[in-house]
Amino acid sequence: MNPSDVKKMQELARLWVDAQPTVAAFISAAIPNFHDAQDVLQRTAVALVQKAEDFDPDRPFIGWVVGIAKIEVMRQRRENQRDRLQLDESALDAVAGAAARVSAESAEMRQTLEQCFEKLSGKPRETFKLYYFDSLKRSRIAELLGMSTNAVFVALHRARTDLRRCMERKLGLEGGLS
Amino acid sequence: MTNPQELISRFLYDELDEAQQQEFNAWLAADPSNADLFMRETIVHRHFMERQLVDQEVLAENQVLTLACELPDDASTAEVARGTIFKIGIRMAGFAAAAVLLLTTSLPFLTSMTSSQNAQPALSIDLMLQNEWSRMTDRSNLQHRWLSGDLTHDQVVDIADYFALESQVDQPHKEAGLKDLAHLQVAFGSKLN
Repeated sequence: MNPSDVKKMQELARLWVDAQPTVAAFISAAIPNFHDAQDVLQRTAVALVQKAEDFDPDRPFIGWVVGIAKIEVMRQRRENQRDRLQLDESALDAVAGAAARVSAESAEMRQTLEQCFEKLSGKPRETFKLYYFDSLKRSRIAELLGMSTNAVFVALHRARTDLRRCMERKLGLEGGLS
Repeated sequence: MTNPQELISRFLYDELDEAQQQEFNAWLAADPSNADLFMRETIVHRHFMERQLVDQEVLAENQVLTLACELPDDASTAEVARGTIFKIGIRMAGFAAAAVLLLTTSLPFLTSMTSSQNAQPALSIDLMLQNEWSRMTDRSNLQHRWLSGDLTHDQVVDIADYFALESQVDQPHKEAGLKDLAHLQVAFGSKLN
């Protein structure tokens, strides 16, 4: 590898580190199963190495890498037929566009989320922790908290929506639904 | 029309029926601001899913599950862990010894820990990067290192060791470890052979 290639790869690595959370979110938006999404994220990283020669520093990196991730998402779908319900092509394109748009805000969003989480309280907070931190299934959470599984769904929905609204408020972002 | 917020939640928690999925697809494609909102919701969702993994790694690391050790310079080849799956060149005899020691002494502990605390054991590896030892405990961080493209032969071998060990001692990451190793072999085959 000559010095200019090394420099290019180092630049690629730096850009990847910055873009990775957004790419991961895009993949999760396309593939809700977290472990499948992780798998696709890894494949995307490998594909990035393999396509490094195609990298054009004059074009937006995030658009390029989301395009690579989209190819890996489609490949995973072909291999894994159990995803019966999924985003169609138009929806996936729309989400890929959104990934590129929100990419710049992504790091700030993630920092803000920790502050916002501290403000959650009551059942939504308790339910949220059991689901996201303790990895419990909703049926198990329902048993533990003496709730119906539908009430668990509602609590998770409410907590996540509150977190997103808090994040948007703190960052002055527009476009959220009330 | 179902409330879009509800559609998002149903999608993220895998509860959409077919009619709702179609409705959701149409809603996403209808306006870029809809897709932006969905991405933000997904960032929230994923942020906390990832934090769960980080918490588990920190917990496991605090329980002294580390492969890092003093690394002598002499080169040798050893069969990693129980003589199964992969034969990989190991640069450091000390590292190989630590790996085998971990596998032979820690498996019962690992098994009990994962079952009792739902934690995933984390491995770590020390790599010489930019003239300093860096402790790597995160698989995605290691993946980023591949992308730097200027890894030495020894570093590639070290990372391969990490994934090989992970595939054997870290049951929840078994498949991922094997895949990473395969990917590494594709990307750096000549350095591993």
